[in-house]
Amino acid sequence: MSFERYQLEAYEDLMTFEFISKGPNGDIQKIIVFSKFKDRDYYNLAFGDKIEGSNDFDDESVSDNDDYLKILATVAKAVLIFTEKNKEAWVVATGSTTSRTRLYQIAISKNLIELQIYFHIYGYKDKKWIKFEKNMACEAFLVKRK
Amino acid sequence: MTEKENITKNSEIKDFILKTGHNPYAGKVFFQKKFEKAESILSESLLPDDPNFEENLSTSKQSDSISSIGLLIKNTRIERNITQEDLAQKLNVEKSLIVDLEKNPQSATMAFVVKVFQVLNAKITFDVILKP
Repeated sequence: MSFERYQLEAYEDLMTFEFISKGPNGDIQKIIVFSKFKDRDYYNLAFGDKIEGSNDFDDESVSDNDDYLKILATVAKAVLIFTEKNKEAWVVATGSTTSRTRLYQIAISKNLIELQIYFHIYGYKDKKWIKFEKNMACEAFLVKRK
Repeated sequence: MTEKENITKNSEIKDFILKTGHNPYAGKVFFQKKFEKAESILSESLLPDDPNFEENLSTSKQSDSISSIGLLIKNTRIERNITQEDLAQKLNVEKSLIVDLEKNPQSATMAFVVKVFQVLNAKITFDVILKP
């Protein structure tokens, strides 16, 4: 994938990735987490800001370095790396808010052609998973490596 | 994938810093709300790796008379509660042929289409309308 993104760091299990968002609000440490659902090869993808002074993270914070596309490109790269190791894994992602989900939808739509080189992409709409199409409004996303 | 895409992909996959030592986040629960929301969605929906999952047609696709035969086959099959795999077995063909037939019936012969409907215990009729 050919978009600007942050340098990722990861532990050997590739279940957590870290990177630092840089911008007008300074350096913000971010984490990307893949969490396995019981008894199936599905993983939840979540990411957010580290809470200063602790080892906790917040996925609802609105720290804005005006770099959301770069952040999403960085997250997409983490998914690529994770699914390279876990080839049969399905990765599901939802936004913590409706507007966040819409941001993801916009980002995926913008880069759909390139993303579809690597992934099968589905959107969750009206209680069904449907093959994702550009600008399709949906509540969640599901991807698997081709 | 083209060679260029393959090279790009491989360099992407290796382009991260591997941290040594124990993962301090292992076993910890982060983003619990999101996890529960996703879990709820997964439990209430038919997932793509389920044998009965059918790839839904795009809502923006227009159906022409040929494509609608594929839809008719699919809908009849679903009505009969038969998977693509089962139908393929009954017809003694590969599943991929049924998948293709439902999406792109153009290449199928009329005889085969009729046979499919027979296996589905359905009758297909053709209506000819003369244009002025």
